[in-house]
Amino acid sequence: MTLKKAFIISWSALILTIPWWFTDISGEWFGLPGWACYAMVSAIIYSIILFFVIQKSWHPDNNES
Amino acid sequence: MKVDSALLGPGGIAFLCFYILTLILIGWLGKKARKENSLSDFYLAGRGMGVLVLFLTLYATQYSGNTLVGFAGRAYREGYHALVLVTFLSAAVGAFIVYAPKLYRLSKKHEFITPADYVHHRFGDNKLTLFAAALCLMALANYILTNLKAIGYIVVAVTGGVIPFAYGVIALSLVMVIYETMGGMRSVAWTDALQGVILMIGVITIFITIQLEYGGFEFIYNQIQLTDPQKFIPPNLTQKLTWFSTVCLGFFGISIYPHAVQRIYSAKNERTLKKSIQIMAFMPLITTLFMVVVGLTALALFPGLDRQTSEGATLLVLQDLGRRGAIGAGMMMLFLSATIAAIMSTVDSALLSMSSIITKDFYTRLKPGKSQAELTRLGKMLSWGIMAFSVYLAIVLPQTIWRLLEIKLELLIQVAPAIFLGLYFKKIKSTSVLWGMAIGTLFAVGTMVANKLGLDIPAKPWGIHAGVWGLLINIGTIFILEKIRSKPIE
Repeated sequence: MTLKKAFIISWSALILTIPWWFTDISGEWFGLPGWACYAMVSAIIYSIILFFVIQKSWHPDNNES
Repeated sequence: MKVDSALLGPGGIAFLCFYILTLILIGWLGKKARKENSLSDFYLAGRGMGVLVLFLTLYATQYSGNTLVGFAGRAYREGYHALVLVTFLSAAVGAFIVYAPKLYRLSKKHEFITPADYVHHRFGDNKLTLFAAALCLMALANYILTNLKAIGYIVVAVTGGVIPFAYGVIALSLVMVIYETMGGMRSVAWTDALQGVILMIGVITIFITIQLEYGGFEFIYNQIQLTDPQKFIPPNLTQKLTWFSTVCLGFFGISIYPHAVQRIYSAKNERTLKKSIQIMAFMPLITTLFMVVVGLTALALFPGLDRQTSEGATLLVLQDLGRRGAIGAGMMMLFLSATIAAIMSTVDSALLSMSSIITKDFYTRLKPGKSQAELTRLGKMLSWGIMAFSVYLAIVLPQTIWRLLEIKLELLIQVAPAIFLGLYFKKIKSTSVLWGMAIGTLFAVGTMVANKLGLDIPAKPWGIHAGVWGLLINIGTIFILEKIRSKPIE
């Protein structure tokens, strides 16, 4: 994965963690207001995405001591 | 933080003292492990940190006392809106993806010690280097001062006021400066490793206990629905923009804290650094998120607290758990140790970073030709001087001045373009970056100060932090000046 792609993926994911599309009080989702559940789950997904983006985009120098 | 009686008995206080004194022993071991009398060895542990120590020192440094005490208080006041704090800290890890690999390779090749070393290497401009270093210093000074203040309050709470605020600040600062000047980054990183483990165990344990004792999210939801259903309202557009602005502060600000950048320089090799940062991606979930839940639990249990009392939300929950018999004195001791560990690990790292910036970025540029041993000695003396001055300020500074000192990340993010753009846009010149940094800083500081002084200027115009507006102006200035510069003269 190129750095440009990594940057785009991680920033898109970061922006999507914001509960943009919630305007009214939604129902209860797993013990949380709907939008808060969205914010929490998206934060978890963002962490997982970061882990994989680092894995795929960062290629350490093999000749390094 | 308001506590009526001592949080720990004599046995608990004795254990806490033993733990704090252990840090000096670790500092001494760090000194024994020293390989040479050089700046690189003192400030970057000889660039030899392995995965475990590097990860733990990154973790312990990034999560301060504010995470354990302040974040829960904020969750109490803001409710579910405080979930932004999780992505705020994750965003910093996202920024590492962009700059850490390239900066690490350059630091290894050109032996950087401070973030401004890179700025100087890239732009070769003394004015820009010193400006960037000065902004880093201001952010670090703020970090040290606010955390020293927090440590004083914790000591008062732990001992029920038997040890006064000033004595607590002086005693713990003394411990930090002793182990820091003994072994530099090696001592700091090793103590951070111990503190990081305590911090992690403390936070996880309190989270699990809360889930078992009260019933977790379901309990919180039902209680808040009865007492404060307003907290269920999703953020409006301005609040969503503030949410976005907050993650920008995390991405461009938290990620370039000088002590974080120096830990990147300290990695043994790139693979070590990569693994440490990968693990760091999950830390906001088991630290920040857990502390937000603690704050929400406090809201469910004790509705209607004022701002000052809500700052002690974590301690209120702990005391309630103690009353219910869910936790004993050991758990209370563990959490207080974790809080003190979080504060100390942040202050010692910031102190070391400040001393390195003054020595390397200011002194060596004004008085070149000094030996590594002389510079290291100077750095140690500076640490004592900075700590003494910080302790004095933490004790005597009036509250009105403290409000101005809250400007921290707003300043630091003005350095971000020099690093991010500097790494990837080869044609950008120092003049543009310097002007961008100056105008961005002026805007951010002007707006914040005017607001703090009570003028009719919002600190967050349209929900966006003044510092983030400053950053946009900063970047805009750079591109406009570059465009003008690249136009052929007719």
